[in-house]
Amino acid sequence: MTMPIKTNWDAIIAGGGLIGLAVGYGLGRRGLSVLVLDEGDTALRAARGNFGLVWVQGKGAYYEPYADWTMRSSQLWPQLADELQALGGPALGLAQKGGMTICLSDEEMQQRQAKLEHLRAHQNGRFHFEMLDRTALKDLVPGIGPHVVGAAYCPHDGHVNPLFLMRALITGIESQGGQFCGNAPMTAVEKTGADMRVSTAAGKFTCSRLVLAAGLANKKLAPMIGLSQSLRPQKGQVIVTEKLDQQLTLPTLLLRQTAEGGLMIGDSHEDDTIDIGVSADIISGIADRALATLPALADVGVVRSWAAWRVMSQDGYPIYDQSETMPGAFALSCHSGVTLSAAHAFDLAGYVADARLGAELAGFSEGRFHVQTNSHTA
Amino acid sequence: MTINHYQVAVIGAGPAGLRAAITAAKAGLTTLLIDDQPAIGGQVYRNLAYNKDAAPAYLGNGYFAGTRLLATFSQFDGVYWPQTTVWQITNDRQIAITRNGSAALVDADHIVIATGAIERAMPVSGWTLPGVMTVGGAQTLLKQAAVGAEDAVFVGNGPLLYLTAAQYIRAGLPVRAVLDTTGPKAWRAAAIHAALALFQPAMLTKGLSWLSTIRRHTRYVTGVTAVRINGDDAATAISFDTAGGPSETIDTAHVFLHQGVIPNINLTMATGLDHVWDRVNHCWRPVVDQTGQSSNPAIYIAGDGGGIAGAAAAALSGAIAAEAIIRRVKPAAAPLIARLGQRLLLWQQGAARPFLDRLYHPDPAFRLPSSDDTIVCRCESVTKADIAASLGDAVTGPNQLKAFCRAGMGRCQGRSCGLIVQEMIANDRRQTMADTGYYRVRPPVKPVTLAELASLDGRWPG
Amino acid sequence: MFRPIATQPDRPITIQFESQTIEASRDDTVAAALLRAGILQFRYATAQEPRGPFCMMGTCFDCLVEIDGKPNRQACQTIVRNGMVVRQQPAPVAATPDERAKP
Repeated sequence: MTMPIKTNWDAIIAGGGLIGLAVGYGLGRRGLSVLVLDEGDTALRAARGNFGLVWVQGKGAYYEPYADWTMRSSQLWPQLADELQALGGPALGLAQKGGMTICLSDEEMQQRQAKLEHLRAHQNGRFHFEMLDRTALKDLVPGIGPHVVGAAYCPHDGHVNPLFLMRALITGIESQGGQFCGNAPMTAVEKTGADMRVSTAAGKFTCSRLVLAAGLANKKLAPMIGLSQSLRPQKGQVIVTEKLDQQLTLPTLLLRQTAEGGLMIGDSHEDDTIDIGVSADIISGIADRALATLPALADVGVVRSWAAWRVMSQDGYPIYDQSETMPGAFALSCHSGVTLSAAHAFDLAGYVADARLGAELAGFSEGRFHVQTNSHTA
Repeated sequence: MTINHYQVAVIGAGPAGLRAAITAAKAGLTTLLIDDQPAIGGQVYRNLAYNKDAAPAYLGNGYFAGTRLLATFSQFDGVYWPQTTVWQITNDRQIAITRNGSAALVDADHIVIATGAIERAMPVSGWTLPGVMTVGGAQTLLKQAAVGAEDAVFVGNGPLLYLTAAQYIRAGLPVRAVLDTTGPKAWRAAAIHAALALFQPAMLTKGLSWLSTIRRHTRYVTGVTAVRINGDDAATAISFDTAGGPSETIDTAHVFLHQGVIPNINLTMATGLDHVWDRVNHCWRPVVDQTGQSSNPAIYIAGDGGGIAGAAAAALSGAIAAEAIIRRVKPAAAPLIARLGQRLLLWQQGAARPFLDRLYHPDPAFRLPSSDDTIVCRCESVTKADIAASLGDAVTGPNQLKAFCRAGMGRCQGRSCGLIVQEMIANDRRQTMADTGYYRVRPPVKPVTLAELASLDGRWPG
Repeated sequence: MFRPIATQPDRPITIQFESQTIEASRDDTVAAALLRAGILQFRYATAQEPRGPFCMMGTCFDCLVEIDGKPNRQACQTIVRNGMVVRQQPAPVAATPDERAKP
């Protein structure tokens, strides 16, 4: 196991997933020394189970803070990509030229349109979208299937390589003098004056800022800093095809072509299962919808599938909280780690450094679940 | 859409699968035998039904020893599906297959996985050039199509290599050289087990006769320490070093590589069965008891897929697994003496293994890629340099590495690169091979088209 | 060069590979038929490098060819059929070289 090179750090991040790495990178660029603690290679990681969308349309349609936060991150993304590239990370393949949600029925079109109109209404002219009928869609995607009714197009949407993002953030952190330590999850924390001492299998380390970003494990860790995060796993399954000639220029919600050429096709939302395996009937359903969307894909080979757990809060929106007992400690979770990476790296990291969560994040406290409000799901 | 229900489904029609299917059906269990080839025999008895009539003597007695087993299969009254690909076994023991362009699910109470072995990768420089094949591949071409190369150089070690080179020579094909990579230390490690090997004398005498044929009819170089295959668009020559000798180059367009076979674990891993790191054989194998029962009590593993022991042992292990299943379905005491006799026979048929496994243990120099531009992941063309650039504190295992550089993301899902990548990480992190782990293998275990997948009539989950 | 050994069985099947007409036996795999005809390069891999059959048992995926219009078929797992049209399998085309994002 890698031993951290020193005992005292400015910031310790519990969890080497996309939130932890983005915030860790953000702290590092503000001059803090950062230690990232992570589990082993086969740990269940939402960070390796991402579709790769940098997605704006629909998010926060019924919860303004989330819509604002998402739009902010989307606008900051090019800066994050440029910085990480400049630090020697891999090419992220960021493309923000728009994206679509394909609709296979009039009902799907109407539901989508209603949602996006609701979103547009509270975004003060920032949010744009267009419902494309079949004719307009055919111009963008000539091979669209005969049963496709139309699509919701949003110019703010995009995609990126989520695995290379993870790698690039680690490269960024290491180039700043930070360290990544696997097989050393956090097991306990105690207060030492204004600082905190974190226990792991690799020893004990002190810090003045502690970020719990361990995904579903935050449920177990948050109480250690006097917080709670009511998270549950929601399973999603995805299939990946062999590489094809580049043909799909824009990503869609359920189907996108990676820069290497493979298609990623999803997905499912399964709540009541602890089984991490892939189900033949669900991936069959995913394939079926893909062929309804693009019939010419019939002979394309699926080379692997995977299932991952989304880190789901009760309403599907992020949970960002600051500890009251240890003001330098934070618990952060969300299920849109890719889209929100930029906001996490720049804004959220800034708040952690200042030990003060900004006002625009007030709507993301766990406390919202303990008050009688009309909350809507994402 | 589920087709039919069987008490026993056997996957793989090599000696283990054949014997398991025959045994189960004979005891009255509804039995399905699934195989991806057009004819039974697996790898070792490939094309035997055709060849036994044409009788090319150069293939040798070991090959024709399978004739009896094939003859027994003619009385098999179960269901046999050739040219059928298994791509998943679900948690409910449903087997997902594709056949004739569409997919289906088969229900089985018990499953015998007899998918055998694959060649261990040998990532020498230039190993991806056209004209370079595995020794097993060259032998398959010989058995199946009576086609051979005229200028072949065999590189590596192990029984299959010596057998195939001997078959080539007996077939009248001029072998240019056999470059043996067995290290001097290997003899020392193997010597202690030499006495055991005497219990399987046929194996030893066969091996000695192959080596004798090789020594008499071609150039046999021992103690080879490094190898490089040259060429731009195809192999044109092979350069090699020996300990203390000068580098030499032999012109050839056909290089056949081999350094042992390992269990084919993609299906067993994708099914979630427990596996253990086998230190002696430097490979993963499924955890099984003496009847072949895996960590899933309804799934048995027979043949080389559970641990390399050769064709005869494979057939016997197929019978043992089927009998264990029969006992579960129709509990009836099989005489203890008979079962002990079987175990003894099984041991005897593998008695030479401890000796041979250590003698031909693959040397680290040939387990790992030789130069920076050597391709490690063949599917994604990921080189040693690409992987080395990805290693670091964040990569404690192959799954993180896969995420960082795409090694293991191709169609073969690690069959070529898995063990190489695992060892590169283990060395970098100073971890044991067991602690480093392996790729998380996912279904489909073999690619399946979107149309075939959709034909399963799965529900769109929404 | 691969060559057939000794006695020649019937080769009643003809298949096309690119511009070449190739004779094959009834139970030949496409890979065996092509190799016997001296063809070693079946496809182009990710980095545009030529590849040919390696394992001959369906586990390496280096023998992929286009058969009767269907891409990425394993030549070593497919039996020949009279009139079959086989073509080299090209590497997929990235939109621009840069977009083939390799770290």
